[in-house]
Amino acid sequence: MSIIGIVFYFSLGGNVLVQWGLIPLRGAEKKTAPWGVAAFMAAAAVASTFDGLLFRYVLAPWNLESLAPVAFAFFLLGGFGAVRALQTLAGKADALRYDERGFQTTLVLYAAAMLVGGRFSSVWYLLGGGAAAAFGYVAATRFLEAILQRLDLEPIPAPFRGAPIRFICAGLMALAFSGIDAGFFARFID
Amino acid sequence: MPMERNRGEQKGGAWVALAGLGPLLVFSNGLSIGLALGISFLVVHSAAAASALLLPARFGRARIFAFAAVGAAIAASLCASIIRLLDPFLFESAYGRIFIIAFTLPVCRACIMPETIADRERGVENVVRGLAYALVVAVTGAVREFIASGTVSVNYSGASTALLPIAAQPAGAFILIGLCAAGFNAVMRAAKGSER
Repeated sequence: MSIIGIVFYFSLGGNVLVQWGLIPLRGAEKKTAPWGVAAFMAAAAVASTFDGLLFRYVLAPWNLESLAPVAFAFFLLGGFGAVRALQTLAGKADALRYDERGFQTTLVLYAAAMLVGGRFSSVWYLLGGGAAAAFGYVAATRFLEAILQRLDLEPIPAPFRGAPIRFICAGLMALAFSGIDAGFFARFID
Repeated sequence: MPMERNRGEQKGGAWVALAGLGPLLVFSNGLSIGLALGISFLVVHSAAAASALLLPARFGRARIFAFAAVGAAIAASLCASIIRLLDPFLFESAYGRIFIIAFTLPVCRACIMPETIADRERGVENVVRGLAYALVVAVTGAVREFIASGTVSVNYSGASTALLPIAAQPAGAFILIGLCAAGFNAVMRAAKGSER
């Protein structure tokens, strides 16, 4: 699979949001600066590469695959703590405040790493795959947010308001993504 | 007014928890995998809640959270190892999702130290909450398998595609969860209406 194929795959059928069900919390998809998206993609690339190399060269040879979450939890929570510490020093966050959106972002990094880490052996593909998975997730969350903002203007039946319509929209979007992937792109790369 | 109507979920902690369970609900497309994920979730959630409850308060909130999170990750690893012993095929297909349990929002919430004595005394509620979430994961798996294949079996055989294949796909999971949540909302609204 070429790097273009990887980008298409992780944007459509293999999208983190679709495959892992990581629906962003309301408000988490607000527009971020391009550098923020780039930083997220870079973090996903690093996480995927670290996970791939850790699993392949450290855990698998010792039959310690089951310890992957502990090792990766230390890595991710350590990284998360380091980022929060830097933000606290910069006066932009409180290191001791419980932040669900931050955890959800960490979860996306975990999903991207698990999705990409076991799939490729080349470091460049791991880096590219991680960045593409993050890009696909950001694109999908923007689509979902745009759909929900439009639906805010519609008279949705009361029981469907809130989380139910959010899940149904995500489901229809997942259907469209996998349809494009299976009907067009999968044939295109064959 | 319409702009405000759909924002109600922000204050609904249960719906945030449901969104946090998304990875498990999406992957749970059969009874066996639903049971494996549900029981693993119960163990991990209980481990996190017990760590947060039993560790001495003098450790501080941040340290207790970190210890509870690591405890949850270790519990997830133990569950993965047990599943690997019982059913290697199930482990191979599900290990990524079993590991993610330790990072889900309900587990993260369980890692928070109870603030007051009253919160500590209500610690058993966390166990009940974990049990309910685990049940939701297992039942979702069974329902999706039934809709997808027309039958429910304990033996894991991957996604079946005999009746309504979309139910076994992630898209079907999202739609099913949305419809169930809407049905639950409707029932709750009707119940509240009948109370008046």
